[in-house]
Amino acid sequence: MLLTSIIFLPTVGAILVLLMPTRAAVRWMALLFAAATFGISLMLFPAFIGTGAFGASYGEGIRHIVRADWIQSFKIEYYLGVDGLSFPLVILTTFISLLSCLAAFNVTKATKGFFSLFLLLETGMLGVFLSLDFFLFYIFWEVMLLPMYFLIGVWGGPRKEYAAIKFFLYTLAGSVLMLIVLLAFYFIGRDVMARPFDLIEMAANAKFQAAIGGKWILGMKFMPMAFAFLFIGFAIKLPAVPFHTWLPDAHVEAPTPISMILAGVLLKMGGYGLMRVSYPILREAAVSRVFITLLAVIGIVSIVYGAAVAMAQTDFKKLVAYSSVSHMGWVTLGLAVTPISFVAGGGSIAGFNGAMFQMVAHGLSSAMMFFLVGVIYDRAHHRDLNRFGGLALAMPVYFGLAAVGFFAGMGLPGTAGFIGEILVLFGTFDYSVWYAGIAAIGMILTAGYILWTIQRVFLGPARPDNAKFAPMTPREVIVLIPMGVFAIALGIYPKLATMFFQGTLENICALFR
Amino acid sequence: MFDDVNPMIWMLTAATLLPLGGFVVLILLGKRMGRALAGWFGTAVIGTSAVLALLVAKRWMGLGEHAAVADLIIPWLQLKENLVLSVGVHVDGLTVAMTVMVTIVATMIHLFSVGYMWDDVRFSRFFAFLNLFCFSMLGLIVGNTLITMFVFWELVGLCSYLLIGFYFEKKSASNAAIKAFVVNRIGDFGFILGIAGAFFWLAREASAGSHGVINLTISQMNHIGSGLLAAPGGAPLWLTAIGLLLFCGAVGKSAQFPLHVWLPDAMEGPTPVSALIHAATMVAAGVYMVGRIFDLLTPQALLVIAAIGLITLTMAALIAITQFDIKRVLAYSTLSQLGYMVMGIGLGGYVAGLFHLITHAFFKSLLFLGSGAVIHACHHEQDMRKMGGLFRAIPITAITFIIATFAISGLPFVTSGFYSKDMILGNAWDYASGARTVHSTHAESAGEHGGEATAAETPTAEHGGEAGEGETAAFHAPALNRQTIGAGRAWAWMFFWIPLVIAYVTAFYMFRAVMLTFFTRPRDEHVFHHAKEHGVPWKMKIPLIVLAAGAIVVGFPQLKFVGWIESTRPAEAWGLQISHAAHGFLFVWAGIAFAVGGGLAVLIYRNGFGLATKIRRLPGVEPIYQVVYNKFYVDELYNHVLLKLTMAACQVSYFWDKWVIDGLVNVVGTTVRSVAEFSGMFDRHVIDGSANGLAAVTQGAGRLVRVPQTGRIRNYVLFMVLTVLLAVGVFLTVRMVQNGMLG
Repeated sequence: MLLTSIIFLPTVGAILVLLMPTRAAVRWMALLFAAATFGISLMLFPAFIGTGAFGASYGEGIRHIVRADWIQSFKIEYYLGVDGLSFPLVILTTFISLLSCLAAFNVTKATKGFFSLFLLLETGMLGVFLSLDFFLFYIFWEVMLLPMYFLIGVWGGPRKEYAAIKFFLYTLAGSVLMLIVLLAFYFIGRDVMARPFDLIEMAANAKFQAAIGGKWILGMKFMPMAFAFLFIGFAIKLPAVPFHTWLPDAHVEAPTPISMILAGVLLKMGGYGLMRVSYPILREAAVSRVFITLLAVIGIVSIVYGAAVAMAQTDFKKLVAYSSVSHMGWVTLGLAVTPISFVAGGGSIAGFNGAMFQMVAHGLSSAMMFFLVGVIYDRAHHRDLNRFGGLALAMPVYFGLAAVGFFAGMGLPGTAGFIGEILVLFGTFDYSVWYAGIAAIGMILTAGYILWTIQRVFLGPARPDNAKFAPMTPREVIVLIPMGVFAIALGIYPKLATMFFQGTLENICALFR
Repeated sequence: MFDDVNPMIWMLTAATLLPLGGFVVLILLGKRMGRALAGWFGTAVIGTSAVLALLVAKRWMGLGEHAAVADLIIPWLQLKENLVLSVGVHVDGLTVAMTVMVTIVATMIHLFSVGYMWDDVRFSRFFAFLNLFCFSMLGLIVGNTLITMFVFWELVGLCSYLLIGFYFEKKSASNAAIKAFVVNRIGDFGFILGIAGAFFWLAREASAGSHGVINLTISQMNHIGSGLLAAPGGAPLWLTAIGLLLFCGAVGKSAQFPLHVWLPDAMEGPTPVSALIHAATMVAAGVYMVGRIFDLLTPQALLVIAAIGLITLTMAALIAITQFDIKRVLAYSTLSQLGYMVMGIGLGGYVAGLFHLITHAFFKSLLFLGSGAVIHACHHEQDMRKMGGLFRAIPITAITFIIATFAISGLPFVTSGFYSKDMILGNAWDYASGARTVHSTHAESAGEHGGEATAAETPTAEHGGEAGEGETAAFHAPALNRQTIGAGRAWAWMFFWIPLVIAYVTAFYMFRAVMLTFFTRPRDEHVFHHAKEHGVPWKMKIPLIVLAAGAIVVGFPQLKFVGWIESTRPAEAWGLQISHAAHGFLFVWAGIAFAVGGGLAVLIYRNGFGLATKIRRLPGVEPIYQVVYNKFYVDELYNHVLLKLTMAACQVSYFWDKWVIDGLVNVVGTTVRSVAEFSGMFDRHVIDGSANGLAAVTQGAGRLVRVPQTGRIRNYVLFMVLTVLLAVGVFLTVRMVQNGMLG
């Protein structure tokens, strides 16, 4: 029941928002529901504290299970549950949603529609993270898609239609690939399993595993094909090079709070999908040499190439968008190298831990960075890096908070970004020294573009056009501080995050034994 | 034993965390505190740390010089089932020596800054950053694992960035800050890979036969490393790789060739910052780190390290001769001295290299503060071409500056620099000559080489057992397996002769600076009068005097620094003993270096630039001068080749992304749309046309569909919400039907 209310509380809010008489009432109602959802999601904490919270195996670690038949003829269930894999992302979602809801207070165009769609989007995201039935997962994946399309397409910048359509089509293409695999799973699974959409059961059921392992479709081995399809579907969301070009456009056109959601939460659905669907179920493919190499190379290319392209940007927001491509590359890389070295190398968990940590860290730092871009865009009405400068003098508080956000994004020790990168780097090193060496080049480039950005925006002599910029409002400061605090807290004491997911990640890796 | 040592861990932790607290207070409340309070608060905080460090030192001495190392280990990140990255604090002789040095120098520089920075608009922020730096630097020193070291290593880099760019209105300052950070990151690229290598590969050695959790501390790593080095077949190749990768970090942080380019530019920061970070403490962190990992360094790695140090010390000293900016002369001098330290350790001179680090910290921070006092007095003039004759205007500054010059030039017996540099050169001699027999002249060397910690009292120096007994008893020195490459070969002598010649050059460029600044006729009346009128406030004089005393006395063995370092000496490193031959030779030549180098400078520059200009006009001198003056064009190479190539690669990547990858996406999109439009046309004109009869029906249906499409977003949203509700409703109904609730 707890999970159902977490998912659908925002939906209730979405309806109530529409009935509000004034713009202010709309905002506060939306904020109230975002806050309530966050509050309820905190009630998940007790289940993950203490020994044995993650169960002896992957399947035994699910908490707060809700199971009911939904479409009985296809054995589709309304099946929710939370474990160490979804729990941190649920908290991240409700947390970032709350802050971006506050960030959205300056939206004036069609406020009702905006906040209603916003809350609907939150339902979609939470549903994806909490569904354990593949079909239900797919439905929520689609539910999330439409509000996002409208939020970009209606409230976006000058090229909003292009960006929205691009986002939509890209994600839809991924969805179609996912749908194919979903159907294939069903047709293979219905003979050997009572619940052919049960994501947990699919991973654990030996008969099903044998069936997908031995299946050939159209003269091709099924398992690698399914893995490739799912990977493309999730890689689009991540986004991994070369499936990433929707992201800069979507970010540049999206309004600030939507960029925060997009970078902070939506991208994580790609990584989550890989860890929930691809890795536990398609294990044989995941540890095949071809896919390890392919994914690792895609991860490394994303890291280095994303950073290089970010360096070439003059649009502040586009730069941050490409930095997301670079940062999420660590997730792909960490996933690729871990299972094989876990089995071969004495329980090497660093890569998975790092990928998960990086998702949380990036969720905080990128949301922070996008909001920081929004703050200055609201005042300057442009994002051209070459036309800024001297802001450290004009807006000292903004500079201080921005420094925290950008150094967290850079992965400076003492911030969460460092932990994610270092864990993945070490995990990669354990698998291949060369991969680790090339990936680490990304760390140099990242320092380069972040510092260059800080220089272009904040440093230099005061400029007359900056002088009239209003100082940070309390609302803006309140949005930034929680993210900054957590970005630093997790960097100093990473166990604060790993204690809530490492157990489940170990259980997933143990499936590979 | 641990119970005895434990309080020292807490005291050091407190000494480290105090400045962090100072930073938090100053960054949040600094502006409200007002100048005086903020400045004195920041100084008091680090002063308290200094007191704590001295208390730890006192306690440590009470335990005897060779008390066991105390560790505090906190698991931080789990990598494998039995492998954990840990953070923690440890205490040993080297920690004590370093914390005492850093806190004392830092306290003096804080005090100096209260005077120096008084007019600055961001006064309190300056102290906040200085406090943050002290926290990071102390953390680096007390950290007991490589990862702890790395975390603080990056944090000192951050502070360095913030303080180099302190005058961020100036483009040159922010450029220098970025350069410092990014060049250091290039070094850290190797460092972090080296840490990973050390961690996984040494853990593999350690885990053979053990089942406990491994969280390799630095001392554990060294233990494994020395085992590998002593293996009969020689050390594995990967150990060399680890050593060199870790050394990359030191190349960046300690500004060794080829990553030395950031340090001269770092002089854009306020002068106290140059003194604290870019002379005394942070830049020496690389040397400290190499010392800490000494037992991971194979003979091959050591040779590379020594060579890098040799290149750096030579190149930098030559450049220093040609510079006119007083801070740049000191910056290149710092590079050169760091080269001495690195080379010293590379030749196995662990004690010598680290001892020089300590003595250098005192006299070089004094030189920088002295230059700061000069610049302050001269109304922010840094060009020595406009100075001259300042001795009369600011005598205390001049005298302390000259004392520091004596120290760096190695005035025999009475200055600290003499002892430490002598030891490096002595080690180089013994390495080059292949001396295996050391003449134990302990009574002598106790006075001259700071050999208080005699071998007899040194359990770790197991080879020197009989050293204390007979003054002339010859004995077999440690058979230094690690010094096999090159030892006794002809080419190995370059590691002795070049540094010796550079010792002459050192004296020359320092006396040149002294002459041009404090003596000769004033070349700029305005500057001279400003100095005469304003002088140097007492807040700046006291640190100068204290550090001048330090520059003289820290080399004396009674102050224990050298003993503390010696107590942590790895068994395979050179200790305090220097062969008799080297000893006698050095004594003479070092004295001559001081006299000849210094005397020549006095001679040439006694009347200002006149004679120097004439020398430049000699045939063949000018081209060489230009190459050296332009720093061997290394910066140009980086700026015009490496940086441009990188930026071009980034632009090409973006072009590729925009036009190829995204272009492909757009082509696909456009094609699909054209096909759709074509089929739409086909639909309208062909199929529709032939089905006119259905038109009415179609229209009616169209109207029906159009009802919700009112163009108002609110209605779209309402529609969507209703859809979701419908889905939920259907679900609930279906369930209820299934459960038989509706009959």
